[in-house]
Amino acid sequence: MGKTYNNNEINGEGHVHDLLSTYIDKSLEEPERVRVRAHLEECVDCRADYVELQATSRMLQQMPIVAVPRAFILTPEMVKGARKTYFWERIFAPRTAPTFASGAIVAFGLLIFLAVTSTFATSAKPPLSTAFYQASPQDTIRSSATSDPGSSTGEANTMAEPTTPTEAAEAPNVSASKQSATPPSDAGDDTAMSPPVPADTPAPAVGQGGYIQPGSLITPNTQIASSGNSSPTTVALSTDTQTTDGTTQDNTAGSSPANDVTDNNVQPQPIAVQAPIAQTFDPLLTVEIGLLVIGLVLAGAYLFARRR
Amino acid sequence: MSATEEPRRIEAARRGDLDAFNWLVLQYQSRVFNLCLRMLSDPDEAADATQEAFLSAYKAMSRFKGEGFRTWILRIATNACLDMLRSRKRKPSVSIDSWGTNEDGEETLDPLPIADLDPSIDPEGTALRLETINTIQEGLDTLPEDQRMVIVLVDVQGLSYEEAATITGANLGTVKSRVNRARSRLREYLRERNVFPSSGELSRRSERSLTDG
Repeated sequence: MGKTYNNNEINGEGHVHDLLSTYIDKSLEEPERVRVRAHLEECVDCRADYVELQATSRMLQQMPIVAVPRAFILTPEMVKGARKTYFWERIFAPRTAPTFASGAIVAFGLLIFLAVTSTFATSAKPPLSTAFYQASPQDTIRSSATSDPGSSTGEANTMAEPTTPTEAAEAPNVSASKQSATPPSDAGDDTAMSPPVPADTPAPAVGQGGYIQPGSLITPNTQIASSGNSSPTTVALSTDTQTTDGTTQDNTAGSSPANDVTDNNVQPQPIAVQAPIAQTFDPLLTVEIGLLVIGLVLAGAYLFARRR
Repeated sequence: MSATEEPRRIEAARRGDLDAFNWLVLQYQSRVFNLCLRMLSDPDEAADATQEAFLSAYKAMSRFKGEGFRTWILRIATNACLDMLRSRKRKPSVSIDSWGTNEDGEETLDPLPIADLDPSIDPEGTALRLETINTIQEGLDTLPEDQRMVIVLVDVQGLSYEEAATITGANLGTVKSRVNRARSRLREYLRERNVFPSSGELSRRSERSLTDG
């Protein structure tokens, strides 16, 4: 039939041509659906349209699915530079999760190692050094003999004199101590400042200005702490393990021979064993904290990369 | 199984995991290829458009939101088809003689077992003859692009009007009227080539289906 209906014709004569497509899809609302069905039963033209439209739709549905001629997967070459992956996307890809895990393990391992060794060092070193510094001139030789054969020993020999108590004052320029021509303010060295006191003085209290017998064992943790006020340089006495004050103090002992000579006053000085405070600025502690933070960050990154 | 696996793969693909994306390619390449095939009529162009579509999809993967992946990939595919049609106009006409049989007389159409299309296709079990298939494809080629697109999505692929609207970016009413017009035009084309059975037989068959309306 090739005639085309216009709207007026359809509506005027009740033809339903326009609605047939929707009718075929079963999407017509109820009242219209009934009307269309009724009309189709009567109207040959519309029924012919309906039949052929429906056949067309069905045949389209029956069009076969053609097999793909090949797989269309992408190769890395094809996508090279194709996708702008943000660098952080690649960093946190699941593939890199093991890297974070390993990094976290290493960081925590280092942290534990440092913590353990620093604990041993703290307990081991200071006694010897402090003993040295508290030695009187006469004792110097003795103390140098007993002092730690480490670097401090060498300096001790040159020094030969205990730093005076006055110099137990805070030593801002501890760093210069290395040269031993340091200004009097080398308080660091002066931990052991106390003048040579007879042995009957209670030995251990380094921080109390007490005389430390050469070779007497001091547990710095307990006794240094008692002093409460320690200059950074003080801690430097236990330099072998802790360069805690961060200054190149390795031998504060040897730093101020001149002072020793000039200032030789023997009153007990509150030995500014500032170990506790010094530990606040302890670079080792900083490293430990840093490792802890790094370890935590890597662990977090590991978990993030492994998230599902 | 793919219902639970797909979200994981999508998430991985969004982060740039190429293997995960290729898993999605394998899931959807048949549908994408067949869409392109019906739109472009030429298997080689359809293959090119399919590859282009997946490449574009990979590049755009980071922009994929929570919508259905099928809708999203088909939208990219229809754009790839339109691009191909545009560039085709600038080139010599494409021969569609390769449709149906090759030089050896073998069928180049190789129907797969119907997997991801609507299982209610062909309820009466009448398979189309190759000749009819060819005629229908040629009829599709005569349709304007926008009508061809919606009728392939709705009738050939069996998608809903709503999904077709999302894919083409048109509104629902536009999709419905385009489907209407496309069916009418195709019906005319087929009738002129005597694809339809005699009207008497058609009428008798349709009497039953009248009540289904």
